[in-house]
Formats: sequence, structure tokens, C-alpha cells
Amino acid sequence: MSCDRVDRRLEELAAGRLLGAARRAAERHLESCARCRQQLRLARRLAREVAALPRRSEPRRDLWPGVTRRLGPAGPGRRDAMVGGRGPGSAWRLAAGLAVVSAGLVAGWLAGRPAAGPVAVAEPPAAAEAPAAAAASARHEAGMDHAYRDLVVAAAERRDRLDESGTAALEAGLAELERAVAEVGEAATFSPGNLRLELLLAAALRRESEWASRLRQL
Amino acid sequence: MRKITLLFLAATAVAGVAFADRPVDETRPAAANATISIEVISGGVTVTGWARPELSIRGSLGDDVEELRIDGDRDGWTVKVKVPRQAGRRHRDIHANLEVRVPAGASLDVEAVSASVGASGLTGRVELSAVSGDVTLDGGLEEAKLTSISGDVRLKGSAGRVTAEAVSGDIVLEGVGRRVAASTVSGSIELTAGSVERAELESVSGSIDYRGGLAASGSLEVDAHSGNVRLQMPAATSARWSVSTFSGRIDNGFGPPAQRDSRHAPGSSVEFETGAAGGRIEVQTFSGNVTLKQS
Repeated sequence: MSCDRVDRRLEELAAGRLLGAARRAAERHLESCARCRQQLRLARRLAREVAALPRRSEPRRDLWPGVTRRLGPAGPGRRDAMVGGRGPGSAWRLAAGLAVVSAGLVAGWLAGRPAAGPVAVAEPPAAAEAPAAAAASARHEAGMDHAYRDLVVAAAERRDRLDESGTAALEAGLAELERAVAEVGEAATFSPGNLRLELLLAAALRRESEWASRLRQL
Repeated sequence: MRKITLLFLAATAVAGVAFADRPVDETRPAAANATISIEVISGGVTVTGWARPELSIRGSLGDDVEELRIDGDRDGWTVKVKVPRQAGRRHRDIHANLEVRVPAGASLDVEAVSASVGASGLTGRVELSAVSGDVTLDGGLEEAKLTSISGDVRLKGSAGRVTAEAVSGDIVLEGVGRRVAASTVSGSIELTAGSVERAELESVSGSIDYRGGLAASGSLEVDAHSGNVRLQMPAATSARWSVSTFSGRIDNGFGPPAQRDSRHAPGSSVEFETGAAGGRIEVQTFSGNVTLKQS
């Protein structure tokens, strides 16, 4: 099993849902791949912290109309900051932006609300939940920061491999990913404990991580 | 006098064009299963498999290309178009247009930046990547990995295992064999297959269109964020289906209609079985619509 394939099955592996031959193949790969072992540690940590989050009961009224109003067109904030900078060094800024955005989104979502940025926060988390969630957020942010620092450096070293069109496509692509993560995070705020949203968010974050890895491989 | 001047200018222009490109014609011995790596910044590369135990490179190099480096031995060759370290405005002509022939069973790895890459007639393992150029593979081979960031990725043939990745480019795979994994961000995925054993298709905003069957115990996993998903599969498909969306719509041509999951959120899902339920089909989207249609 290759790194790509292990990456794709990471959520299942971390959750203990990957079974049989696929699990054995993944474990054989992990024995010899430090990078994938690190990714698995991060995924397990994310799963543990998500599981430890407090579950709120369903709201008394239907909040979805408010969510759809807020989702609307994606906000301009960080996306403009990322897409605006073309030319030499933009891959660096792109990767740096990715690092900050990813860490912020995960931390923000783990704290029970969307990260600060283009999507407004409708309701603050309940006061009793805030300290525990903030602590989990800080721990997770530190872990993500460590994982992405390596990618940022690698992306800076390889920015000369990107031409203008490739850089623009990557910037736009990562902005799409950012929007996707923000949308799911926003929806998760209004539908707490929704396993499907948790899986969608994990998938979106995994994609961000994959594309950052691809930057490194250029 | 004016006519003579024009003729002189025309002749100079023709000579300029004629001498702008440097011709390439190189041949090296190569084993039937040799590993061939090619790196190009700009231009185009076409690789064709042939029955001879040789690597052949023909084509042309731009004036500002430093050299065409060919290193290795018959078991493996690395071909690299070397350009000035700072290939900026002063070194515009760094393109290389190469027609390469390699033993049909060779393993091939081509990396390009703003160059199109094509390969055909190969039977081994092929890896083609470009930043902004199109990537095209034709033929029946064992394994293929195709990547482009802004260019399109196309496969026509019967590769046993295929991995295709793009960001804004489209992915079109015709005749995929046993296993396929394809992912894009904003580009679309169109896949035509016979009967796959395992398929994993992912996009963020691009649409995913799958037309094909599923092996008896095969699996098909489709994951899109806002892109629409359309599966067109035989009525006799044998599988356990699990389809869900958070805010999209599910149009189920194989089984019961989807049900809303919660009074307070728009999510809907449906799970059902068809045939002997030997395979597994999972589809999930955030806001993309899902259409399941019998072929």
C-alpha cells in the first residue's frame, strides 16, 4: 500500500474501521513509513478530541434557514488574501496561508464554532463548554502547526517549479477547499453531534493536507 | 530596391525561424523493462512504446536550452532538458518538443511544468505529471498515475490500476480496468468503466459522472462537496448502497426515495440493496445533488 492509499484510508484506520487485508496492508506500510505514522497519530488525536467534545441537544427551533442565509456566497476575507498575491513567492504565501487556515479551522471547529474569517459566528458556545473546548483547541492547533511547518518550508523551496497558471490553479483550488471546510464547519455549529458532518469535515481537511503534500512533491 | 529589401528581410526571417530550434536525434540501448525518466519545463513530450531495445529521442530544443542531458545505462535512463538557472525574461526560448520512443515494457516517469505530456503503446507502469499542461495516456497498461494542476488529464485504454489527480483540470477516464482513484478540486471527473473492483472518486466543486459496472464484490466510493454526482450503472448491479447528502438532493433510480434525517437539519440519506448485494457503493456530498440512474 502506498502513502496515497494510506492517506485515503486514514480516517477508517484511525477509527478502527479498516479491517481485513486492507488493514494488514496499511499496517505493513506504516512499519516502514514515518510520515504516515505521524499522519495516523494526528488523525487519532483528532478523533479522540472530537469524541471528547460535549454534545448539545437539538435546538428547539429550526436553525437551518439562518444557516443557509449565512452560507450564501463564500465570504471574501482570507480567500482574497490568498488569491490576491500572484507572482514570485505566492506559493510561499499560499502554503503559509494554508497552514494558518487549516490550523485555525480545525481549532475553531473543535472549539464548537467556525474559525474567525469569512463566515460569521451566529451563536457563541455555551459558557460551560468554552474552557475545555479552548484547551482542546490549543492542543490541536499546536499539533497541526507542527505538521504543516514542514510543508510550508518545502513549498517555499519548490515555488520555482510552479508556473503562473499552476500557481493560480492551486490558489483557486485551495480557496475552494477552504470554502468547503468553512461551510461544513458552519453547518456543524448548527447541527452538533452530526456524524456525517464530522466525516465531511475530516474529508475536507484531509484534502487540504493532501494538496499541501502535493505542493511539497512538485 | 524596396522589393530587394523585403526579400532580404523575408529571407532573414526564414533563416531565423530555421535556426531558432536545435534538432535532437539521440539513441541509447535500453532493456525491455528499463526505467525511463524525463524532465521538461516547457513545450511538449510524446512517448511511444516500441518493440526495439532502444531509447530514441527526436525533436527540437529552443535556443535558450542549455543542453539535453541523457544519463544512465540500459537499465535506466534519465533525460533532462536543462535550462538556465534563472530562466526569466532573458531566456524565453526554453521549450523542448520531444518525440521519445522506449521499449513497450519500460517503466516511464515524465515530469513537466508548462508542457503537454502524452504516452501510448506502453504496457508497464507509467507516471505522467504536469503543472499546467495536459496529460494524455492511450493504451492498455498495468498501472498509471496521471497528475496535472491546471491541465486536463485523459486516459483512453485499459489500465489495470489508475490514479488521476487534478486541481482545476478535468479528468476523463475511458476504459478503466480493475482499480481507479481520481480526485479534483474544481475540475470534473468523467469515468467510463467496464466492471471495476475498487473506485474512489473525489471532488470539491467539480461534478462526478460515473458510467460503468461494479465487480461482484467491488466497491465504489464517491465523495463530493458541492459538485453533483451522477452514477449510471447496470440495472443488475449487485451492491449495498449508502447514499447521503447534507443539503443536496438525491434522485434514486435504483431503490426507495431518500428520507430526511432530522427535523432540524436538511440532511437526507438512503440505504438499500440491489441484486445479491455483493458489492458496496457509498456516495456522500455536502451540497451537491446525487443522481442514480440505471443504464
